[in-house]
Amino acid sequence: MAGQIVAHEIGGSLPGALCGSHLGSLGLHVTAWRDHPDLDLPRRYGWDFSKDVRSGPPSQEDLSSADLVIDGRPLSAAPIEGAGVVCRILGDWDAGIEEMPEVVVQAKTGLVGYVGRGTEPPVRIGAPVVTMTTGVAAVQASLAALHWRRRWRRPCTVTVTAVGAALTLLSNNVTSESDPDKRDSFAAMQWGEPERGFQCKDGVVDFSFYRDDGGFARFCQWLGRPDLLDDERFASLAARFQHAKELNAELRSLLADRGVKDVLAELDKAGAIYSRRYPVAELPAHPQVDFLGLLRRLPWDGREQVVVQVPFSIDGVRPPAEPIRHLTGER
Amino acid sequence: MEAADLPFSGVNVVDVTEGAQGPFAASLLAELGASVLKVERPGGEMMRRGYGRPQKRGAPLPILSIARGRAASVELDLASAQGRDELLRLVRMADVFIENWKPGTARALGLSYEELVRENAGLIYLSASGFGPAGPFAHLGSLGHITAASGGLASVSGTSQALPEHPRIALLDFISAMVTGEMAIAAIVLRKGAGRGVHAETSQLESAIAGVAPVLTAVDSGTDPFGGGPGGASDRWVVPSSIFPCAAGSFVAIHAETDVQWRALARVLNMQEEPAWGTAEGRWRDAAGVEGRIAEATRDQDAEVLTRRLRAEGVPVSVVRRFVGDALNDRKLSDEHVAWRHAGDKVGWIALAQPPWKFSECDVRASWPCPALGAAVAPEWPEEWQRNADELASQGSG
Repeated sequence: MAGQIVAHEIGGSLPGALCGSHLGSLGLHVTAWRDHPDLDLPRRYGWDFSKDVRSGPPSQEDLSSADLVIDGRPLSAAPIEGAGVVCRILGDWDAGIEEMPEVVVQAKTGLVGYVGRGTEPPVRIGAPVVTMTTGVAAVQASLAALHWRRRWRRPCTVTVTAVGAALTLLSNNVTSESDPDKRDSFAAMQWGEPERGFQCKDGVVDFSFYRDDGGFARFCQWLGRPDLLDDERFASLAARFQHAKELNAELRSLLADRGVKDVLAELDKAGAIYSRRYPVAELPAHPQVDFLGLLRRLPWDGREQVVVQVPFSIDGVRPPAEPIRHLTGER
Repeated sequence: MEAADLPFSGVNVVDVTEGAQGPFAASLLAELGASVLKVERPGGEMMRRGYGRPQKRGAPLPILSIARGRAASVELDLASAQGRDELLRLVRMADVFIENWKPGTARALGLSYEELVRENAGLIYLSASGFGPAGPFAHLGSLGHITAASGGLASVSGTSQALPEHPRIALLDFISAMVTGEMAIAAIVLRKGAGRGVHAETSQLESAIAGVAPVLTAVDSGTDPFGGGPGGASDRWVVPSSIFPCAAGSFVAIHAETDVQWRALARVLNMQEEPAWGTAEGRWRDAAGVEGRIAEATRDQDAEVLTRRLRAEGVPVSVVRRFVGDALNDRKLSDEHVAWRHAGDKVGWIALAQPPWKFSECDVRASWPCPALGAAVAPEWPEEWQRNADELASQGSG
């Protein structure tokens, strides 16, 4: 089916660009129409691959003959006529996507409230997770609508919103914090500051001994503090959760002078769920990322640019990120 | 429109996943019309037990939201011959099978892709793991925030003066659920009917790295002003795009990407500009200067009033809400993005986030909460659900 589907991406939105790239990698023939193809933010995000890119607006004929139009234009733009499926990407039901960039959606939905300290000015989640999720939702919606059209042989418009995508990421919180009784909500839960991980001598580690008292006991033994298990605050999973702040303070001081490699080896022996905290700059050298073949270097502007390919594989093959076919000026 | 008109009506899904990544992905299929059967271990999956917090009247809330839209929940001991036989019977009738076991578990149970396609030649088999099916980290256990640490997602947020921090939500669990949903839909739409089985695989690690992809690209090209670490409230690509203080302890988020938006912002704030700030590149190069000047101008302003003025001038802006419960006090936001569903007499009504998409030709909406362990659901529409549906239909969709 994929090889027969012609898609046009218009409006130059970031979620639309990601959507077009994923669909192009999945085998659709995607053409992105841009005002300034070389200056686009999508390119700098690494979200332009597996597509043609052309200058200027497409013709009405281009759009009306398309199976799919990925439409990231402002809310006031004229409707697309004649296409099989139109995927509208909006900021909210009454706002264009250009009115709802990442920081605005994070602020509007309260997403910023789950990072930083309540006593300090707000910060944001430092990667464009809402924009990315909106693009993923647009892929889902576009494919589902193409499927609907194939079944029912009628055109279909599907609309995706960035606010809706943000609230999807907050699904648990929507349920718990909408409840009239918010005392037991996520917002009220004590996390004991595990969010900064445990600083060791040469890096940061995160770990959990979920449902494994024996493993935690072994780890305490290695830390030279088997007595921690005698403390009723830390004697069971429930007690440790309740007293996470005190426990994490103890662990932090015990781990500060130890090397990451030694700590990870002991966590492994103790059966913990664990990881070293990888800085983004080190991801290209991450052994598992390398094994999975997730990253690819593509030519751009006389050099190479790293892009993250589609994050899944089908029958053992990852849908490949191909260099953009830059057709500026051609029709 | 009838439920039969939904995109995946008639698609049968057997879901043996636990947690959020697999179950929520299967929920997306349910909301698109698939009939999803939830298979749980004896006693119920992890979200019914230790991880089932917070609770309401003794019932774990997350599973009600995450595993929504199931036609039924079935308890099976898949380690037993009887349980396995029962699962195989279900698989023979299914279009899609979804699992998120640790790599190796499916084969140990005799339920690997190769084994199940012998029972059902056209089966779409979906695997969602922590680190992938093979490789040096594949054997590691996975929880969302731990895998996020491995995938860089825990290294990008926070103030620039402290260690990076995890957001205090199940962020990667839901990002990876959305990616798993994308994979599931792609497999169904692009490969179903190909005359043979399909095995699609994803992992939380791949989703984490997809989540930080733009940061990785910026770091790799030497253009990330924060070197891949936290940047506080500021953006890596656009200046100004940050959060600014207002009067009475409130804050606004402002984003001015274009020259037109920038000029409108400067005008509304009556702000003195530097000559170098006339271009996006100039503003990006002096981010601290630009955002410091804006903060001076917003500090004494009423956040709500300033938001209205900037919005009227076409500048993207929002008052900062400090958690989602606060945001949902906005009646319009709540009405448009939240559906109230009845979760049984004990729990009563609960709020579910609506799916992030609407279809013009069919009514795709938040379905019903996860049924009790071992229970079937007759999807009778509660009165309020019906009323919501009628209201939406009268407004037109899309």
